[in-house]
Amino acid sequence: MIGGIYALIASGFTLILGVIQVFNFAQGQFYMLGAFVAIAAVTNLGLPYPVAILVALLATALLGAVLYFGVIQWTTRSGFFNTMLVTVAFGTVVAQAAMLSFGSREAVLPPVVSGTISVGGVTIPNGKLVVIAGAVVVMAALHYFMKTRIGVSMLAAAENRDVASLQGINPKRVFWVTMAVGCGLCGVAGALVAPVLAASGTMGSTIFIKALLVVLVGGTGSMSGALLAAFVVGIAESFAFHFFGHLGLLVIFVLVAILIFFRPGGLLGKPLPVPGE
Amino acid sequence: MSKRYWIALVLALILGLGVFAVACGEDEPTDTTAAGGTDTTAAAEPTETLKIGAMVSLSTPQGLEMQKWLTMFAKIKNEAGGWDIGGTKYKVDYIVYDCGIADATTARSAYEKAILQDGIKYIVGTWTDVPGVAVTITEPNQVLWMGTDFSPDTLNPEFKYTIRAQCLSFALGAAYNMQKYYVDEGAKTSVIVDTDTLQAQVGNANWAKAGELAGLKELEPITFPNDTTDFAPVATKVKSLNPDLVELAYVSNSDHLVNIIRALKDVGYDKFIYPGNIDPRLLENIITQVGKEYVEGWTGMYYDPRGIQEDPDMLALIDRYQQEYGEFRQEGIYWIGPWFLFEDAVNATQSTDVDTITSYLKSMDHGVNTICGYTQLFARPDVGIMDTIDSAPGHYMFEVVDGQMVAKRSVTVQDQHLVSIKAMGLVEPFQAYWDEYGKPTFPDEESLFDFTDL
Repeated sequence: MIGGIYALIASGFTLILGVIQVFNFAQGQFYMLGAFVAIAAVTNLGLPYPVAILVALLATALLGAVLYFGVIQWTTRSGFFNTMLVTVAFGTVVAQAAMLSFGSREAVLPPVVSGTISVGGVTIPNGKLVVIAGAVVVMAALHYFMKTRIGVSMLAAAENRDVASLQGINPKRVFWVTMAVGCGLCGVAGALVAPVLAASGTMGSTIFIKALLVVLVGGTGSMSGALLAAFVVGIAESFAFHFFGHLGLLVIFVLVAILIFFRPGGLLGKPLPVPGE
Repeated sequence: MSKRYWIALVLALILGLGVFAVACGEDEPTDTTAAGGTDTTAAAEPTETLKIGAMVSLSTPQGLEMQKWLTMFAKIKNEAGGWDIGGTKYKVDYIVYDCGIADATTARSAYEKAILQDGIKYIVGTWTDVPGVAVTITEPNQVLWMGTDFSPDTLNPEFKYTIRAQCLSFALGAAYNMQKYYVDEGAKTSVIVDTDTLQAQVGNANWAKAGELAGLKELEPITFPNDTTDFAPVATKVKSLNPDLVELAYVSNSDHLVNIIRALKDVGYDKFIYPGNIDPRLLENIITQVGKEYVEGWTGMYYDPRGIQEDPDMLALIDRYQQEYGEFRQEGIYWIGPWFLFEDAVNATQSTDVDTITSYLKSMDHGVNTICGYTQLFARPDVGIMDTIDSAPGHYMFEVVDGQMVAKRSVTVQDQHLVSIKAMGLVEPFQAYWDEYGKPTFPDEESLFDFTDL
């Protein structure tokens, strides 16, 4: 299940990094906001859970667009690092505001489906299967979205924004849509896990590091790489914990370091761009 | 930049600040000082000011709650016209500093600001402040430090101004009471599940010793990184060990707690779970995830004193908290214990002199009541400290009956102190200490453990 969530967050992150060349440190906070928006939509507004997912998608996509228009579009002119620092600041403000607004307590949704199924002696809760199915649907939707005119424009801008401009592609439109889509993916991820994991103000920060790991393994700018890496990292994490206990994460980082040494671009991507270029 | 973008930006900023102000306005009747301090004082007549500092992480539930209580205590003193100490009325200025979460750099900066810039002479109440760093600043500057720690960093016979309150050195009576309960229910084996922090390791090692004293066979603990999101691997490991009891003693993140319990149910674990310290709302969230039947009969530590606490002064403070902040929350009440010790010391000595107050605390022959129960300071002869510097706090137990937390009874200071000594193998040095200085006296409460059990 966790692989599916990593896939959505990492896809959003790598999309923004690839197209706008913004290292969005606030990405995890959109995941957290998505979870809280979905929980609020169900518990406070009484909306059905599928509608709550859509609400979370729209809310986080909108906030992503606001972040672009309000901040990112101005700071990108000042360079890669300045923009990155701005996203750190934005993420911190969002995390603290969430702590103050939603409180420091956890929030939960009742399970959407109950029961378990047994596959080859392994018991899998149905709730987690719903999350996996949801992640697959969203990834499939993203796949088709990238084939639309705006999707192709995003890929073209990611390839070479100057040439893309010469082809009549409006970069500003591409960029804000990219921010909205990238952040919306995180929001959906948060909404999907809400019935199976308790939400908290710190959940965005903790998962972001793992999402970065996924991006590194999959390859920056590669969404298919992110998808592949998400499931590889998710499964490796489970096995590493089983065999190495709390040192499991260390083992994963060592494996990733070895991978990056031999394949700097990850499984399916390119090496990281030199900042500012 | 065009005019419309400027307008949009200004509107967004106003909107953001408005949301922030509304969010803050519910819980924070405070003014913010420069560089991280939050300073609360009501208008008061006294001319003298008593500045007290607290070091907490304002990104944690415990820290935020401590801030509410401590600033409320100052407000109460000030509303009464100030704190009368030795014939002088003092306005109380309780400044809560954000020291980060176990971040040595941030903690050092906060301590330096408090002590070197703001002139704080008493640090009363801490949470995640890196005590090993704190004492490097408080001791040379002769600042009283009353903070939370159970590491060896603050156990130094040469330290003159360090009091460990609230501490968990003598908190194993609570573990023992809980473990005894589950042993009586038929549990024979147990596994502790917790985050892989140093403090948790120390705490869990002691917890396991209490478990063995209570008659449990403690299996190898299972620890997980603090940034764990999916607890299925943890639960699978628990299931493979199949213990009679899973002890979640020190899992402080409530979302972790809910997720672990949910994962345990998902893998089919259906024996006893000790959930640590939870409150009714957390229990409600757990029940939302796993159902009422799964939690029936659980017992655990309970910070909420309502239903057990009989001290009218403490009940009045709880009422005042609810007037100030609405719903009662328990996260901070254990860790604000130092305030009551400090208040007792100042009232008894009628002095604001750090040395006088510290001397009183280091020779205390009695405890004080706190919101979370009776708290008493004890010596640490096992490390050569004959002064009373380490606290044993009282506690409460609950039992889950029909999906509700029902207050069960107190865990006494006597149990806390004596079980801890026995479980940690410290009987010999304490016996020698008692032979020389006399045995401590405890409040007259029913305990499970006595001097004869040592």
